[in-house]
Amino acid sequence: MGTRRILVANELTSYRQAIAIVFRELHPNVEVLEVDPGILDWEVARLGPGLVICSRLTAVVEERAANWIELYPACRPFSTFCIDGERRTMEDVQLSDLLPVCARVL
Amino acid sequence: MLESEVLVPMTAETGSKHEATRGDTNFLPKSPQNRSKDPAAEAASARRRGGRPRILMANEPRAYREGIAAVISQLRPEVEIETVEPDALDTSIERFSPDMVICSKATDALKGSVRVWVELYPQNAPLSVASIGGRRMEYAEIQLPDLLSIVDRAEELAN
Repeated sequence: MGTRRILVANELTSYRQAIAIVFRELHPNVEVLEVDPGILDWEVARLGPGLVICSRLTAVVEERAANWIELYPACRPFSTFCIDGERRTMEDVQLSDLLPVCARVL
Repeated sequence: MLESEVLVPMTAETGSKHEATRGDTNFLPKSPQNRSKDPAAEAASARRRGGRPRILMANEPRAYREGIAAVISQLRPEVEIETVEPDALDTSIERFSPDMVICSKATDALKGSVRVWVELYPQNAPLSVASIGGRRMEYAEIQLPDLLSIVDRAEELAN
């Protein structure tokens, strides 16, 4: 498991900011960083996050992030969670589906 | 649904856009209710207010709608906020009589009946459009502080 650190790299800025704020406030002991999707790979390699939330899964995230959530890729309703190596796809994810993930993996 | 009470004054992006950024509380607009230090002005403002400003949120996808609603609820506790599915927008406008709407697609009913609205990322593109008291504004990449400023403006217009 990586550092107690989350990278939030969703596309569309206000969405990214909102998700990051919610995680910060609910998990004040976890470092939550907002990352431009264009530099996500570099930041994953540099920071070794315990959880990545992004809109587009990359090979680097897949290989190097301990856990990740591909949230609404291309704003489609399906999201993929990879937690402890186990993948599952969910339709119409709610905020309440995201929040327990942090508690579980960090 | 996230309980907004669990959120405390928010943090936000600072520093270079080319690096991961941590939170900072200072770049967000302060609530209008926190701006005045004059008790008389605050009392007068309170007298003018007939009720809590109402915001209806009908943007998609859902987790983002809920996330933005939670943040607004926390930072603007004076606002009454409701989230609905996009296809319930028009009927919810009739029922809820919002002072502001945030949605992904502005409908004719919305444009004809609500003074302040934001069409947030229509067709999932970065461009957003707002109408604030009849004045149209475009945002190339709207940010959370922009949304909070529009909430504040809606509150002023509602009073």
